[in-house]
Order: sequence, then C-alpha cells, then structure tokens
Amino acid sequence: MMRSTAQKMKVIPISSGEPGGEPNGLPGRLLAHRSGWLAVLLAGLFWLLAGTGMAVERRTPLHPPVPLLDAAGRNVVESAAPVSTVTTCAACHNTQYITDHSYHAWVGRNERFKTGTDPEFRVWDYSPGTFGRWDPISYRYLTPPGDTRLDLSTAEWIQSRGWRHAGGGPAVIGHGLRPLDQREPAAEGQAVSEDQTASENQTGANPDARILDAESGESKSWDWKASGTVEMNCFLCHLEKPANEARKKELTAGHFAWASTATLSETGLVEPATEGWKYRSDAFTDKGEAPAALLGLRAPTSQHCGQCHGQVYFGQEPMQPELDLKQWSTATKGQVFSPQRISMSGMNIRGKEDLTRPWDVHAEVMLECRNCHFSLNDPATFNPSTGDQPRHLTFEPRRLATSEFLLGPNHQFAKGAAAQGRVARNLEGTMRQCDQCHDADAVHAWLPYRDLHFAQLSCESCHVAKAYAPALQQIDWTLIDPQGNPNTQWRGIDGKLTDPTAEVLGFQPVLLPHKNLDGRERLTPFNLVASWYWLEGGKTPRPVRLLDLKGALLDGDQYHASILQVLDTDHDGQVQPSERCLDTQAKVDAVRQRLEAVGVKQPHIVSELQPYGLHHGVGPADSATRQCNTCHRSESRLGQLFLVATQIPGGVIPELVHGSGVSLAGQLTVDEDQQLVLQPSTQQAGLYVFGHDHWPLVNTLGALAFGLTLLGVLGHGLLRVVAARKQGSSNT
Amino acid sequence: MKYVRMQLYSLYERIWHWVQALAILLLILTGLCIHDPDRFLVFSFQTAVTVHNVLGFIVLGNAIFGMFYYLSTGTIRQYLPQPRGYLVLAVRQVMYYTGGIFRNEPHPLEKSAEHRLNPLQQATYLGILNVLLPIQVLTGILMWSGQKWPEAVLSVGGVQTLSMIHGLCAWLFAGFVIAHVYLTTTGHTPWTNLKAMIFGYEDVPAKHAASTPIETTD
Amino acid sequence: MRSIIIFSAIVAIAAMMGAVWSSTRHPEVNSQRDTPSPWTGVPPKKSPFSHAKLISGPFKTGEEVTEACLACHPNAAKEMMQTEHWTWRGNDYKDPDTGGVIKIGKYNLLNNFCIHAMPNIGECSSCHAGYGWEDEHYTFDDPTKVDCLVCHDLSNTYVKSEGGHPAEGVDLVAVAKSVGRPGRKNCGVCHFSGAGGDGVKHGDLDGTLYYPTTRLDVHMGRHDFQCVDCHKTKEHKIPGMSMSISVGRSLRVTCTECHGQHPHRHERLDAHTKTVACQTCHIPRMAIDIPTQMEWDWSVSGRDHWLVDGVDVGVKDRFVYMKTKGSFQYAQFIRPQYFWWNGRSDRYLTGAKIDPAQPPVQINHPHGDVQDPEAKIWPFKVHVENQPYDKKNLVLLTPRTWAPKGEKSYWNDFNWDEALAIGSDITKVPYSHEFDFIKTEMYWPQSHMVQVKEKALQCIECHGPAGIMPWQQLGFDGDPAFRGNRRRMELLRDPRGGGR
Repeated sequence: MMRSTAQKMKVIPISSGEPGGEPNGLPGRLLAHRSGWLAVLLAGLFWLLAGTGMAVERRTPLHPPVPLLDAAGRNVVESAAPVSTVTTCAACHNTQYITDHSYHAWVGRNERFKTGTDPEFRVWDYSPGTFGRWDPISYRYLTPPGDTRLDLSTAEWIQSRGWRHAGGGPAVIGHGLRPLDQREPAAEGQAVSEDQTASENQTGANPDARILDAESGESKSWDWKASGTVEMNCFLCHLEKPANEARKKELTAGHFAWASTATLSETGLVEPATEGWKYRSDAFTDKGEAPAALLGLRAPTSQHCGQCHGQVYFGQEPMQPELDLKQWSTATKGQVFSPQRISMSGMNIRGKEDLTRPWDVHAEVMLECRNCHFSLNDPATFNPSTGDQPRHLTFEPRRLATSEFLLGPNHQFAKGAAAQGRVARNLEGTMRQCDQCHDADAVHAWLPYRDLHFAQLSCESCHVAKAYAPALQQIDWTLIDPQGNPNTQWRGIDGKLTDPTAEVLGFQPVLLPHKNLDGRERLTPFNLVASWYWLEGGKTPRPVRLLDLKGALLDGDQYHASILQVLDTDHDGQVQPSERCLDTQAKVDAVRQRLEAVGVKQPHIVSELQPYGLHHGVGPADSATRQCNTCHRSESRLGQLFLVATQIPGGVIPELVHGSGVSLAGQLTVDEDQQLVLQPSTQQAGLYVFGHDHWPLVNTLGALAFGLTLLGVLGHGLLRVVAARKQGSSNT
Repeated sequence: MKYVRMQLYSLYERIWHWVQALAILLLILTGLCIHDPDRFLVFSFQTAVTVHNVLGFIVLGNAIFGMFYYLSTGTIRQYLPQPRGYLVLAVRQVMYYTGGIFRNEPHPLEKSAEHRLNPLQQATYLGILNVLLPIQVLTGILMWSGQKWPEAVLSVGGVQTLSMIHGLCAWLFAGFVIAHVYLTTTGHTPWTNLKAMIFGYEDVPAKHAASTPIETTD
Repeated sequence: MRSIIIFSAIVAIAAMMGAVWSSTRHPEVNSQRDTPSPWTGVPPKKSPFSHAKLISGPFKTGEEVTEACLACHPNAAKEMMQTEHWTWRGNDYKDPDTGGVIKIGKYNLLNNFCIHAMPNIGECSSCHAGYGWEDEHYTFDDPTKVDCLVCHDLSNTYVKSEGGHPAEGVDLVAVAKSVGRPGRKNCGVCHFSGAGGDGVKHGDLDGTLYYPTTRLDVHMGRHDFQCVDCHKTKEHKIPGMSMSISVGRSLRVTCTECHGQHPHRHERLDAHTKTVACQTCHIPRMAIDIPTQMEWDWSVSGRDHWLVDGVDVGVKDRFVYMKTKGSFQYAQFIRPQYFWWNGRSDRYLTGAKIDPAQPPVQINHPHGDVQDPEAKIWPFKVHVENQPYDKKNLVLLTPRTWAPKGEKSYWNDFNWDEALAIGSDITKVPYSHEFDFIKTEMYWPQSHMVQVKEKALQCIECHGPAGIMPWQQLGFDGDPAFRGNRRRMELLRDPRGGGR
C-alpha cells in the first residue's frame, strides 16, 4: 500500500515563464491574487529549490583545479602578477602548438602579402584577416610598417578591436617577429624590418612602437613594457562564465597584460585593485589552486563564440538583442543564433505572432557552433580530407586518442567558404556542411527537377529565405557627423536602431551566384553592405585617415564653416539629417578642398559593395521556400529588387569587392527616388528559369511569324470570300 | 454531278492525327503557362510542367508509332515528293493558292487515296515531321532530362540555348497550326477536308476518281 | 490486323503516359499518411432536439422531473445507476494486503484535499448526480433519485445544493425544457471546481474553460470541443479516468484515439511518442489563467489571525489562509513535474497503515520507470497536504468538517478530536484520539489545456544544458539526446549487445 519515497527525489519545476504573447502569463506567476508578497516569497523559495535542482543536473567540470601562473611560472596568488594563460595551461596543454594553430589568434598576420600584390584584395590590404585587411565598416587603417603616416597602430588596434580578438599572434608580436614587450627601444626600427621591408623610409611611422594621439594627432611612442602584450586568452572561450566586458575594459585602458586576469572576474577568484587586479586567496585551495568549480573549464558553447561573433541567445526570457556593430554577424547579416521562437522575442517584429519558428533550428536542436566548426584534430569529429583516402576505404579509423587531442588540440576550426571569410583559405570546406548531416535527396522527393535545383541553388537560398533581424545597409564615411561618426543606414527596421519600439521588418536577402568549393556557382542569399569613403590618391592609395577627416570637416564639435555653408542648403544654420550627405557636386568639391587643405593628396570618393552571405538562421523545414511560383514567374523572387542604398554620396556607384567569389549578376540602377537598387538578373547568373526568363528576340521573331501567318490566312480567306461573292453575283 | 466516295485516311491515320493535334494544342497551352505563368495561368505551374512533360512523351510515342505505320504500310510515299515535275507541280499549287482559288478554278492536284498531298503539303509535312518535331522533342527531352543528366544539358549549351530553340519552334508550331487549320477550308467546300479527317473519306467528282471508289453517290 | 495495331498503340501510349506521370509525381505531397484525419474520431455535431414543447410541468421536486424524463427514456436511469457518477465506486482494486478485489471510488477513498466525502456527505453530495444523499444510509436503488438535470441542463440556471437537491429558486420547468447534449458547463460545475474552488484540484481544469481560447486549449478553444466529444459517452457511461480515484487504464481517453501514434510528420518527434506522453510537450504549463492549489496545511487551521510578514491578512482568503481549512500555496502558469507512468497507480485505501517515518505519504503514486516499456514520461501536478493521522493506529484520519448548523463538526466548533472521532466512526477508521498531522502527496496527470504545436515544448526546453527534464531522477544516465535513449542504454547495459 505504501510506497517508500526515500529513493524518490523531488524536483520543483523551474518556474520561469513564457511571457511574450501571453497576456496573463507573467513569468511563472506563483499566485496569491491579493497578496503579491506571497508570490514573491514563493517565487524566491521555488527559485532556491530550482537552483539546487539545477545543481544536481549540472555536471561537475571534468577539468581539475589548476594553479594560476604568471608569465614567469610563479603562482599568481604569491606573485600578484597578471595570469599568463599560455604559461598556466602549458602545464598540461601544448600552448605553443595551440597558438601556432589558430587563425583566431593570427587573424591574417601569418598570411601577409605585400600591399597591392593580390588582386583579390584592395590595393592597400596586406593580409586576409583583420590584422591587415581594411574594412569600411570599422574604417581605420592598420598602418603597415613602411608607411610614412601613422593611422591605426598595433597598440591602438588592440585597444579598439582587441576585444574581438582571441589574443596571441599580432597582439604579442605585432608586425615583427619578436614579442613587442621584449624589444629594445633602440632596435625598434630593425625589429619591424626583420620580415617586412620598411627600409624605403627609415623615418616611417613605426606602427609597432608608436600610437596616434587622438587629441593632438601627433604620433607618440607606446610603452609595451608597461602595457604588456595580449596572450591568447584561453579563459575567454573555456571558462563557464568569461567576463568579456571586464577584459574589454582592460584592453581599452591599455592594460594588455591584465586582460586574461580580468576575464576571470566572474569566477570570484579575482577582484579589481587600484593597479590591475588582485587575487582573493580565500577563493583558492590550500594548495593555491583555482578550484575546478569556480573555473568551470569546458568546451566552448555557442555563447562563447557569440561574445565576438554576434547575437547568441539561449535564455528563457524574451530576447532583447543589443543591435549595433559590436554584434558583428548580426549587424552584417541579421544573424541570430537562438532556439527561441521568434514570436517569443522581445523585439518589436512585424507579424511576430505567426513567427513561431525558432531563430535558428540548429540552436533549437541543441547544436553548438563547435559541432560544425570543430577543432580539426578532434578525434570525435575528425574529417579526413577527401581525396587522400584510397578508394577501398570509407572511413579513416586512425586518429588521435582523446588524451592526445587534449594535450595538443588544434585551434584551427573547421570553416566553410564564406564570401567575407578570407583567412586560412586552405581550411575552406573543412566544416560540416549541410549535406554532411542532411540527406537532401531523401526529403526533397517532392521537388521536381531536384538535381537541377541542387546544382543551381545553395541550401540557404530556400532555407534562409529571410533574415528576421535588421542588418547594415550602407555606411557613409565621406561626411562624418560632428562626433566623427559615419552616416549608417540599416535595413529591416522601420525607424532608428536604438529605438526599441521601432518595428523590425527583417529583410529578404538578395540571391547572387557564389562560387562554391566544388567550383560551381550557386545562388546564395546575401546582404550587401555598401560603403563610401575618401581615398587618398597617389602611388600608395590609402583611405583618408579619420584624423584627417575630422581635421578637414570639423572645427571643434561642429562642422568647419566652409562645410557648414554648403551643407546647410536651407540656411537655417543647422545641418539637418537630410542635408548630411554629399549629394551635390558643390558639397563634394567643398569637402575635397578641405581635405586637400589638410594635406590629403588627390582625395576622391570610392564606393564598394561587400557581400555578406547568410548561412545561419535556418528555420524548420516548413519555413523554407517551397512554392514553385516563388521563383517561376515574372515577378520572381530571383529578380526581386534589392535596395542597396538610400543615398549615393558623390553619385559614386559602388563596385563589388574583389575575391569574394560572388558575381554581382544584375543591374545597379538609380530609381526615381534617387535610391540605388540592384535588379538581379538570372540570365547574368547563367540561369534560365522557366516562367521567369524570356528570350525577347525569340518571342518577337516567333510572334512576328505567327502574326504574319495569321494575317496571311485572314487576308487570303477574306479575298476568297470576296471572290466567291463576286462570282456568285456574276453567275446570277 | 456524280461523286465518288473515296477512302483517304485510314482509321489509324485519323487517330494518329487527332492525338497529335490534341497533344500539340495542349503542349502550346501548357507551354505558354510555363513560359509566362502570370499571363497564362490556366494550371498551376507544377501541373503545367507535369502535363507538358507527359504530353511531350505522348507526341514522341505517337510520332514513333506513326513512323512505324507509314513505313510498314508504305503510306510514307504520300509524303515523298516525286522528283520529276515536283517544281512544276509546286509552282502550279502556288499559282492556284494565289490566283486560281479566287476564280474557283479546279485544284491542281487530283486527290486520290494514293496521292492525297499536294507538293506544298509534302514539303511542309516533311519539314514539320522531320525537322521541327524532332528538334522540339529533342530539346524538350533534354530539358526534361536536366533532372537526371545535368551534364548532358550543359554540353549542348544549357537550358538557355535549349529554351531558345524550343521557344522558337513552339512559335513555328503555333503558326503551322493556324495555317494548317485555315488550309483545310480550301477543299471543295470549307468542310470537306475536315470531314475527311474525321470520317476518313471524301466525295470526289466521279470523273476525277483515279482509284477505286468505295461507293458512288449522286 | 489493323485493330491490333490500334489497340496496341493505345495501350502503349497509355502505359507511357502512366510511366511519365508517375515519374513526375511527388510522393511526399501525394502520399497518404498512415494516420487518418483526426476528425474521424470526433462525433458529428447533431442538431439539437428541443424538449421545450414536450415538457409542461409543473415540477415541485427534482424527482418529478426525473419521472417525466423516464416516461420517454425508460432505460436512462437504469444505465445511469450503473455508472460511477451514481455509485461513486466503480473501479476494481486488488487490495495488496488482503488480496481481495474491492470496488473503489469517491465513496470509500480519501484524498489530500477535503480528505473524505462520507463524513461530510450532505455537503459533498451536491456533486452527486442524484437527489437526497444526506447521510451514510443512502440507498442507491431509486431511479427517480437520478439527477438528469445536472448533466443535461442547457439553460445554465440549474444549481444543486446540500444533499444534491436542486437549490432554492431554480425554475425546474425552464431547466427541464432546456435539456440537451451536455456541454462544458454541465461537466465543469463539478469537475472544474473540486475541493471548494475554481481550479483548486486538477491544474488542467478550471472555469476558464467555460469560454476557452486557443491559448488555453486547442480542442475546446479553437474547435469548441465539448467534454463529451472526447469523453465519448455510451449508455451514460462516460470514459475517462482521473488518477485521483482510478488505478487502472481500461477506460482512459487517449490522444492517439484520434491522432494516431505518429502524428507529427517529423520522424524525430514521432520517435518520442514511445517514451513521452503527448501531454508532456503539448501541456508545457498548467493552471494557465487561474491559480491551482499546490499545498494545503490543515494543521494550522482554526486560528483567528494569520500573519504573513507580521501583517494580519485575515482568515478568509482562499489563496492564503482560511480559519476553516488552514493555509495554502497556489501557483499559476507553472511547469508540471515529470514522472514515468504506465497508466496504473497505487492507491491508499481508507484505513490502511502508513509509515510516519517516511513522509510524504503517497496517496496515488504512479507506476512505471525507465525500464518499463509501457511507461511514458508524463506531466503531473503534485499536490502536497498536511493532513491528520492517528499516531497510534497509524492510519490517515477522516474528519467530519461540514455538518448542518447545530451539529458537531470541525467547521462548526473547530474541535479536531471531536471531528475526527465522528468522521472516523462513519468511515470505520480506527481512532485512538491521539492524532497529528503528516505530509501526503497526490499526483494529478495533466491532460487538458492542450497547446498547439507552436506553443508545445521545443527540443531545447527538455534537452541541453538548460533543459527542464530531471533526467537522472527519471533514471537516465543523463540527457538522452547526448547519452542515448532507453533502447541505447539497454544496449550498453547488455554485454552481448542484445536489446530488449
């Protein structure tokens, strides 16, 4: 009769709610209708219990406790020096191998080429990664050694962009070969020229040793010994709760050596001190080790990747993403990696009640970024390159043991071949791609002309039919505002990006042919980001430095008088947002004159179009494009106009950047509203889409032949009738 | 005048003709629908494609059967112009269509069961059945086979080229249909030829009857 | 010869047509799923038959109405008197102590809300489908005592009162004229407000279902189902079994009756139906709009003041404290708890021994575990109560709480000893006058407030690091999405690699 209950553990359910779209449903509302305090009390109780329930579930971290060491190998609890991850982790892991094999650390620094030598890049680019490849969105140019004028130096690169960099690589050695903090000031120039010919100009702006003073515009030296360098930050991706914000603060402040330590600030092991950070010795074990539970060292989750790559959200509450350029992939592609149903989002998305699909179905089925972008020598995911294998083998069983992998895990992560991802192109196609998990043939039996469709369309064309978050549309550096910011327009939002009530519409990407790894061009969805900027002419073209732009256009915190005069077309003494664009020749000339006045040679406006491929944000199957007449009709999805820009500074029509593998199949035209639109053309894409494409000449000729026949027949018939009448009357 | 009822078309020939006629008409209709679904949406796109494919194979099958029939029965000779005097006959036929017909002159061709096509018809049908139809079927099959053998399609210039040829031929077919239908009215009476294609026989004035009449009427 | 040619030509063309057609067919679109439309399981809506012209009255009592009904429906009362709605004991239960099979039901079972009906039958019988059950001497053999109206009244004016009689002021003629097929109101009047208030008991049934929307329940909201559309009644026997009094599963109403075993058009989801009840995903939360009771503590009843954080909140708040009943905890829009259940359950029988050393006492613990191939993971509301038991005889006690004015009962004079003595005497439970209170637990499987697929649980709500499913407590090694499901676990367990 009785049931022993001792063995039965009881878990009080987690009572967090399912709010959006639930008018009555405050999160887990534990109720006492007339007594709110009880609800609070109970909620607290349940929360506590839920917490313990979770604790039962949460596995203890596999990773053992470790002593945190400084660069000299001393325990930091005693030395009070910054943690060195490379030294600390080297106790067990081959950190040298790890940093050597990581494009996240090197960001192109190890794939350098001489400026102007690679036609796939801009003439002033000198690496395929962010350390050397200029980008109009982040704008400032990382000055290469040998340049005469300094723009962005290595130190300032770390300060302003280092938070999206894993550390290591150029953050340790800069442009040279030896660590930045181990160079003797006297040997400065030589250190630079060790592997980069900077001999042309010995007085060149040494980007490793100097930094541009934002106030004066003067170049001054940077004390690397004081700042330290930024080692590859293991904590950032392997701690349970890495503190990226604290790390970012240290980087911005120039306290590079403390960056790794600051990343620990959520663990309770460290606390801020007047100078750097100090260690809470009570949080460490008696042996001076950092307890395993506090570190929570683990395989990186999607949230870890999201720290730099864009919006990743796995929470229960409605998602409210921070929409700005810091969320890189969200800003450039409208990409959100979250299992949450779009209808549950905290964003004001049009028609969201019906958008019950998750933002990303792969997030919904518990995939992490690392499942497809895995470490290349992880024996669990090891993917031998096809082609190496003898024909009689289908599987390569020889692989590292897990223990061997853990000693030297390769930090080159499997990657695809995105239009913008140019680093480590030798690794393109190593990632797990759609067809390596999905048997498309098995589930597309309904699709007529399946192979033909698969040969011409990427999976994303139909399965990432729309992006539901806003994305960058255009960025205009030709005329900065008085705060020094460019004019930036976003697509997919009706109103200001910063306004939480602005309606989010999302956008339909444009489908353009993109050269896949198999050499075939397939239509792939893209967001196009147009940018306009001033380029300094001459032998070595460079984007005009922000410093020079400010100097030319601004006078303190307002526009220079001559600029204000041309901009202020309605003469109210103010520059209205609608006036803030170089849309007339007079305005362009005025700015050009000012630029020339501050010493910029041959300034001219250049515009480029960057394609950002939409490869994430896949919805469940039933959200994919499925109707024939989406494409097979004259008003086809494939020929749908794509708004490129609402303003065209200087009237310069942008050109697609080189080397992206994308063909701009279509016509860029200025419509009657003076907006720049792209009319995609399937014929230029090498396609003939039934119901959409026509051969006008064939139709004209054919119709002519048909019409003439009809006319002849009618004429002949008429003549016969007339003749018959005549004969009939003459006979009578 | 005495007329002789003369068998012109066998039952199979008539079935063959009407199958072909119906299929070609439907092909033109579904073809239009595939070509420009917004303007000619009779079926859904998917239905139009399916029907078009099926009809294409029916036309192909019908053509093969017809070929077999004409070859095995020797009726093929109807289509083959006699080399001697062909041009004269052809010119005479043209003269008739451009002049004689209005003056109610007799047909230059004395129709008989063995000799029922005039030189212009022979030339046209040879062109339609040996050039236009094979091209159309071939390009059609190639586009259809893009499903299974995309390389084959690419090797002949891709769907672009094929569709161009296929589209042009479709127009020509449409033109042919118009002219063909019109010319059926140029018999003894406007309905004579149509009736002949339906019932198989034509009433020919007795004096012209070159072959054995099946019956005579007054 | 010619006809052979023609015939073979036609056959060949037809065959070719067929071949081409079938090659361009789209199997996924055209093929029938193995599950027929769920609508085939729903009874067709019949146009209502008006009784207004047949009934004239006048009626002084409910029994007179019943007689009028029986004039045309002679079998109705006989059928009705076979059912649990009349007998309050219908389920066979094999007593594990004696081995004998007994009939159990509300008549002889106690629960962990108001505890036992029999000592308080005058009040409790207002939810009995009959008239005049005022004490334990009620006989169940008079057909005129059957209450037709409580189930068939469509005028919404019929109210029952003590002893199950029509309440004063009810216009019996108007009610009788209105009769028809029972709607949600007829069932809800008792089943939505058990244990003394709207939504107190079940968690998935409450008064919001009188006027439901899709967000409350897809069947009743979007499609306006009545209870009897699923609880398809034959000869007044209504299928469906609440685990609170039913231990078997013979008459259970299941989702699969209409939806089949593979309703998802999604292999991964359909694979879950072996292990997970439909309800688990499609009832992600219970008590959506009205709070349901989670805990009840009888031991603190009888006080004239109730302080919360030092503030006297009164003694009449049914969500917080009542002098008559004690203190409560309510919850709304909450996750259920998840346990294995194979459809059977234990049942605490009135008078059975308990082990006070191992609280909470289980009233109706569900059967099944990870090894049980018939068990599925189900969502439950678990109700906890602190209720009286006999310290010497080790049995749960059955107090008389309600009594007519002037008679002795707990609510009349707040004397536990007296109330327990009278109540236990009625239910034949031994009482030693030494009592205390003990925690008990009752399981309520959730089957209503079914959500559309767009609101159902998603993968990541159960699986993954933030999943709500207590895998280890359910007997898994860990999250089966990563560690393998029941079958894979068995493979790992069996060194020979054999499955079940």
